[in-house]
Amino acid sequence: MTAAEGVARPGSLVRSAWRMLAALPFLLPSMVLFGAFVFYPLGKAVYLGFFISNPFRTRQIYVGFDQYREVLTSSEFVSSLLVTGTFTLYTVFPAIAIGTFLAVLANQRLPGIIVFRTVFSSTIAASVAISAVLWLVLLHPSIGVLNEAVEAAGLSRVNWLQDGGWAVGEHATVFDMVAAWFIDPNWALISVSLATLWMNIGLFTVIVLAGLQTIPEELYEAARVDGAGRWQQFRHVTLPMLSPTLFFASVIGMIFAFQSFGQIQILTEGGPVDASTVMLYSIYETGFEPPFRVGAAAVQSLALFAIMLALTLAQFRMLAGRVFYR
Amino acid sequence: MTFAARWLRRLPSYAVLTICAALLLFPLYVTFVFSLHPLSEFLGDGVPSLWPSDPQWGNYFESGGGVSNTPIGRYLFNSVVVAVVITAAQLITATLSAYAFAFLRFPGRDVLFALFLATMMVPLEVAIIPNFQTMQWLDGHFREQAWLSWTQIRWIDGYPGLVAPFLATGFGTFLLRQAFLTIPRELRDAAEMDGYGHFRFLFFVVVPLARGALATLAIFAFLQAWNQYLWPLLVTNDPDMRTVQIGIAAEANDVSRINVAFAGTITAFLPMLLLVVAFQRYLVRGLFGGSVKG
Repeated sequence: MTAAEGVARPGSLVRSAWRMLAALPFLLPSMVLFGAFVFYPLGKAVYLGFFISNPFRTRQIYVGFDQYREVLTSSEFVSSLLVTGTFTLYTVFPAIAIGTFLAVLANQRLPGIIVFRTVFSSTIAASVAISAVLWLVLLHPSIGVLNEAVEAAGLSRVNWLQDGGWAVGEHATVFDMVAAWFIDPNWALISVSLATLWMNIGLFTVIVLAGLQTIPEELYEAARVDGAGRWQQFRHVTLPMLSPTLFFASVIGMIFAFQSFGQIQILTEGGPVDASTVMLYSIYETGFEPPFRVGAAAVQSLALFAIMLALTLAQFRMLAGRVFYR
Repeated sequence: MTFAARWLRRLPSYAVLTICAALLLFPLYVTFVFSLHPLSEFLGDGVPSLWPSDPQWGNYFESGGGVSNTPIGRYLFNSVVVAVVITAAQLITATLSAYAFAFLRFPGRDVLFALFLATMMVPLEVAIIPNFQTMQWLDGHFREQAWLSWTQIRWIDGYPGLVAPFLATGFGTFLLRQAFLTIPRELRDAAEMDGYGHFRFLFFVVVPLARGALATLAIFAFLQAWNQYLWPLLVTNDPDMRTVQIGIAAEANDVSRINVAFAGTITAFLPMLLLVVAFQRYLVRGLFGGSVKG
């Protein structure tokens, strides 16, 4: 039997190997890159979590799961969770509400509406650095314009970037901290949230506009025949039809919130104290600033991974309903 | 209804739209006005004027110290290099792998595809510590190997380090595979009979048919590469290797030319704005994983 006959026989081992070999040139570039920069680092992070190193990084000491336990129960970690959670609350849902409002406005049939659609979606093009600089201009202690508006409205000036509010005071328990939320605003966190919120408005306007296109016009006609006004049409047609889009938007928004870093580094450097230290900023401080606690940073990044994995899985379930497979 | 009456009825709608647009654009407007002020405007007491009474276009163009002639010009150049390389590489790697998943049959295909999808669930942020260590190793020990010394590739403070982790994309592979699956298999059979190999079929038939999906991926890759912040911050120390995002953030803390820093911010934003405006329908398609026909 020749080799050629071996290849031709269906289901044979040679044939399988040949097919794999034929696919390899297509897949090898991506596989190598994913191996080096996605899968290897993931394993390495778990491994790093087992070790502490001395400040000069000359020696690594195996501590096993002790470091995991220590980091995940530390007050810094709990604080970063609370700050990240608050940051998510401040940036995602208001932005979705505003984005929905703007999308509905920009979905009217009017001459020139395309201009407004473009303007409302435009902030999607802004990077974290750009929107942080824009908001630095507005919130800056000496040249900040926003405080002028605050004063004009008869309110007292706000120390935007340097007032940590509830996050910096002495709180016996997490509950005390949460209780202080409402009476002692964390302006530093609100500042970085404003920059993020502004960026997100464009994103959510784009998403909701796409969602609005999928609502059949007949539904609105039927509602009008039943005598529904503008608000009732929105409440009973638009909102229910939009709910999958809004769910999708909130998951995307949360994933972005947990990945936030640049605006915090530029505007507040995580401060005052830890008032705006979100999880990723905490990872950066722990791992890339002296004393370079690389292992502890790896543990924190795995915790962040676990949270984001849950969010991404939710997003996938959502997308799977919209995408066709063959 | 008469012409005038129709416009009168639309007036409130336009009023609301205009107010919303003005509020949203206010941060951009302030920074734009500030970017046109002379430096003296920032040195006095009080807030700089919100109207450019003495516009200094030189902050953008002047050879003495405008954007084009300060380090910001260099930052912009770095960002262009990084974003173009990442976009081109993602288009190539994702097209190749998506082709394998859409048109080839081989054992283990579904498992491998699941692994490719899984990479989407591992954001870069989770891998920064080990990836940074990899770059340090490549830049140090690896480069010192005698047989590699001729390359002199810099991984810290060099383009290779800035782009390396982003050259492959699970999202792009998924997006392109979805597009490739809509191409009739009969085309492949016909091409095979004409003696086309896989690469010729891919290049001359599949790629032209999947233009829309490729454009979507290109926009996404470019926007993300241009706008990223954390990774370039970690792998660059040398100011000459900064990307524009790191650069403008650093410049905004330098009071001696803060107006030029604002001009740089506007300059870094404009190309992305044009990109998003021009290709918005591709962007929308990408956000929904290719499932919306924009």
